[in-house]
Amino acid sequence: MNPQSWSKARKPWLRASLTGLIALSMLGLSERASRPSRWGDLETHARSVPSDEQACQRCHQNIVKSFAQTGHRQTLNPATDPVLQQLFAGSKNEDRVPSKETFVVRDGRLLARSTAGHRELLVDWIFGSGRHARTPVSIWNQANRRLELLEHGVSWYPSTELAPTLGLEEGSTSGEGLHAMGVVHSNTAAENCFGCHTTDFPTSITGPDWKHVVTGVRCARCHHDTAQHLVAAERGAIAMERWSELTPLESVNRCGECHRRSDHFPADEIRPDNAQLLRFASVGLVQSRCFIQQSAIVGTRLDCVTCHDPHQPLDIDVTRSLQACRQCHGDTTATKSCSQASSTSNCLPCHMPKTPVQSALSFTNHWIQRHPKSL
Amino acid sequence: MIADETCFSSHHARNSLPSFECWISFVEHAQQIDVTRQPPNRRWLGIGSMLLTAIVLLFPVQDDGVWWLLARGRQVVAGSLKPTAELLNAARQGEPDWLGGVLWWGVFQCLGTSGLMLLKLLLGTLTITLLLSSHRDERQTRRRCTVSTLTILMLFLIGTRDAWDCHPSANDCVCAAIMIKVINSATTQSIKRTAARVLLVSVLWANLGRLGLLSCLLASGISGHRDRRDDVPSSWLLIAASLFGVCMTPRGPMGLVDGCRRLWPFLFEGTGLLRATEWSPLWQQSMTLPTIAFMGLSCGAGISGMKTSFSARSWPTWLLCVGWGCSVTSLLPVLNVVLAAQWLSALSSFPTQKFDMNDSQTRSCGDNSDRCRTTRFTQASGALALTFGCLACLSGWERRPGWGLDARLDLGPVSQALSGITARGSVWCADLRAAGAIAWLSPNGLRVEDVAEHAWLEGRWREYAALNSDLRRGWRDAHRRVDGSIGGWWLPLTQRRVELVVASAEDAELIAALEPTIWKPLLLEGGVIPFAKAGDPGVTPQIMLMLRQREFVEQGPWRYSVADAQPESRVDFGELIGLRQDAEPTWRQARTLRAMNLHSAAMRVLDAGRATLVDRRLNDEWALCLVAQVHAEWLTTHTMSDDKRRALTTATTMKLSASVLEQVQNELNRPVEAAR
Repeated sequence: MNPQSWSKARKPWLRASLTGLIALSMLGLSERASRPSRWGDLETHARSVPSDEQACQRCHQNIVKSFAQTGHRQTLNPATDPVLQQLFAGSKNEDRVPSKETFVVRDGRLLARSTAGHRELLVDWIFGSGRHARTPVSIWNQANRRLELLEHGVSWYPSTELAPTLGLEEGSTSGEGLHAMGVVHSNTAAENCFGCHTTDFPTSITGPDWKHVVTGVRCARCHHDTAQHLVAAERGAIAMERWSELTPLESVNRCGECHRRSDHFPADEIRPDNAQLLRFASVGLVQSRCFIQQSAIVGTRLDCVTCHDPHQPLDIDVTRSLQACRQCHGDTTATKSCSQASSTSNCLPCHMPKTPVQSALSFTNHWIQRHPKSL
Repeated sequence: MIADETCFSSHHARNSLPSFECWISFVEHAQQIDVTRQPPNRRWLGIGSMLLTAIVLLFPVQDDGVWWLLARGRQVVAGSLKPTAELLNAARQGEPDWLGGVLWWGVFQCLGTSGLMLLKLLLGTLTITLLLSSHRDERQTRRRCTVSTLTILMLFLIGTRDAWDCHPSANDCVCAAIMIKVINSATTQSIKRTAARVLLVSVLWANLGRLGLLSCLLASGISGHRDRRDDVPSSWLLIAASLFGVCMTPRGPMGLVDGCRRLWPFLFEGTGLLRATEWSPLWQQSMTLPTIAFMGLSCGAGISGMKTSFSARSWPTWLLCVGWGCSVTSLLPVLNVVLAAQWLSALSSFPTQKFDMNDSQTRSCGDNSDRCRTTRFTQASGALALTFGCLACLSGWERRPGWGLDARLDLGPVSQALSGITARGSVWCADLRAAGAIAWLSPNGLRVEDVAEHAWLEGRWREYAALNSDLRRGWRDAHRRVDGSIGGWWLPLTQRRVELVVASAEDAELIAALEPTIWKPLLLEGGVIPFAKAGDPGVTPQIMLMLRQREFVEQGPWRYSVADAQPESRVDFGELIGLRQDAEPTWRQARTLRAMNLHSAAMRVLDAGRATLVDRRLNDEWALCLVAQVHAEWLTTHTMSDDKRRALTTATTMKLSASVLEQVQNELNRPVEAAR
């Protein structure tokens, strides 16, 4: 076979076409691998996190129904809600608030007015479920389209109606213009705020994708494998991560994704006299001896869900909490009982006292210990 | 010889191009050609090549990976077989190209930065020589081939410009040229001898360069050699030899996997993750001289291939090279070597002796007037391309000609800043420049946590990219990403015991994101900016010093001098002949200060810079500073003063990039939007 016949036999045009096809495929794949994503740089699949409860409701109707009443589910609302608008517009801000901010509803929009400024500012979102507080927030884009957020200096509280926002008491808001109305948060902090008050907060280089923001904490926010569970459920399987299979620390840290984890703080900041920790129940809890030494008694478990049923609205009845205490400190257990009170009395006022953080708000101290003030 | 001439003559008589078989026949008898008949003009080619090398390569070394490469070389000389694994905390395995930095390190130790420049010129010249000698054709005519060859060489040099910049790709380019030489000489060697040579070069390439696996492509594609005895393409033996050679590294056969990850990165990662990396496609990169050169080489080689009937194996090689180059930008330098070789091969196979412009017989063109015009057109095009390329290089369009090390790689400031701290642990480096600086200086035994390339090879790319993304976007606390993973930089950095975060000075996004966090800068100037944790006693004095400096540059009687900012680590040829000073250091300084929210200081830098320098980037930075100041005023007063409005309006009339102009206009419309 001479070279010419060999070339003909092997059909060089076919070889070139095949190679061209390979080269085109490479181009296509590389384009796909580096295509700018609507959801940001780190998307792997198109929306792997189911953020709506519809799918969950098919099998867990009761849970979804009761969960809809929880503070978690209602932790973020648009300021267009007339009920919420009336909470602010119908309340007077007397001398309690330094910025003397007032709210009005006009054309179905909630607007904030401040005597320090000369303009009205549109309120876009209301953060918080209302159990503790509701804080109005205004947002706008910077020149580079990055998000910027104003946390208003006035919040609504169930007890006192309008009062200073936690952390923005007298002296915190100063100056004029927008600074007099609250604290302006950069894009970084703004995304962090929405990150915890939503189940899905897609962002990209052009800013948040508001159409696809899923407000409030929903099923998939805590149950990380919801997507896999739904797929498995279609096949009749029920594969899902069980909360009880998590270690107590993993369980608390799951809540701590928003309520802060203890390892989010430098070691020197974690001390009983640090009043900042009162806000972060999950940080205080894991410092408690009750939490650290729980493994010493077989069959006991202490984490957030021991006392708080996450699927139900927060229960003001302390029975469930006391039962948790009596796992170890009951009459029949070997653990040392309380020397100051009977085993049937309420442990919480002494060991987990409610501590006021400002006139309108108090938090339960979750660092379980013998608090000097209460003893 | 007679058969060869007959073949060409018959094609000429039929007015058709010579076939592949003619060329095979010709190459086999090439050595018997009477060289005295039409002597090649090697003198002009040599002088031209030297000039081109000087014009294209006489630029300061400015690749971000310089210090990283040198640190790896130093580690190998110290006795390590896995230099990267010893330099990185996260690395678990070595790399095949473990010897890649040894030569550069040796030269740097002996001659300093001048050694790097000399080696860069030497390797460039060596590769050109190898390419020319691979396709030496005694039929080349004087003027046309000299111009055409020089044009190819210019495109090749520009296309591989970044590789010679003390980059691992330089080793790939040299090894590719050697391999092409070996494969092309296969036509005159026995197949066993060729296979042995291929094996040797493959071993060398795999241990020195990152793309040793490409030797298999070269072994299969470039060669036109076939074993006539059994009529089976002998390239299978060459491919086997090269594959075996690629495995002969400390990584063993796993080196093949590493090679695949580098050659086909898009097969290993999903949507979006390769964006803005060196593995992204060509069309997503900004247009630079090397990318233009790649396109020129691709088109030139393709057109020449059509005119000279590329062999059955050359077309697939050409198609793959073009496809690869468009798909993965990091492969461009070595693919340029292959394309240049193909074009040179096509050029040398074209029967040009009939159109020799120096030949008195053909000078008058006679009945070949059409071809004569074609030749003149080719000559003119080549000369034009040569002139344009040389002017583009010399004009300082992208880089300023000079000698030494670019200012951004000057480690003086960062070395001084780190000498005053006692932090221990690991360092998170946002890019290779930062990683190289820390690996080379190794202050207090601090080790780099990870680098992009090794994270890619070991399958940590997603984790690495995600952490960098969280740092840039300011995601401190844990949060769910869209892909279901947990984001936030605080925990990963704490778990890795990261004590320093280091960023390049131009990385304004990262510097701005770190500004409100616990990470505080230890420097206000320099090529890389280290950030240390506030509250750490080991770094507190340096942080305090920086706080005082920040106040001084922002509010004190500080003045910026453009002349003083020019780096001492390099000689700027433009400055030597009286041109304006380089605007790059001024732009970088302003950008760093703006990212640190020191807008007044940045404005001082820019005012000084714009008074003496002309550069659009300075205008952009000035406009961005103005936008930041106007926005700060809007936040404070909820309105915009008239002078600020006038300044913004003036900015819209300046020469600004589109994105900056958009930001100016957005800010100009701000009060209207706020009133809502």
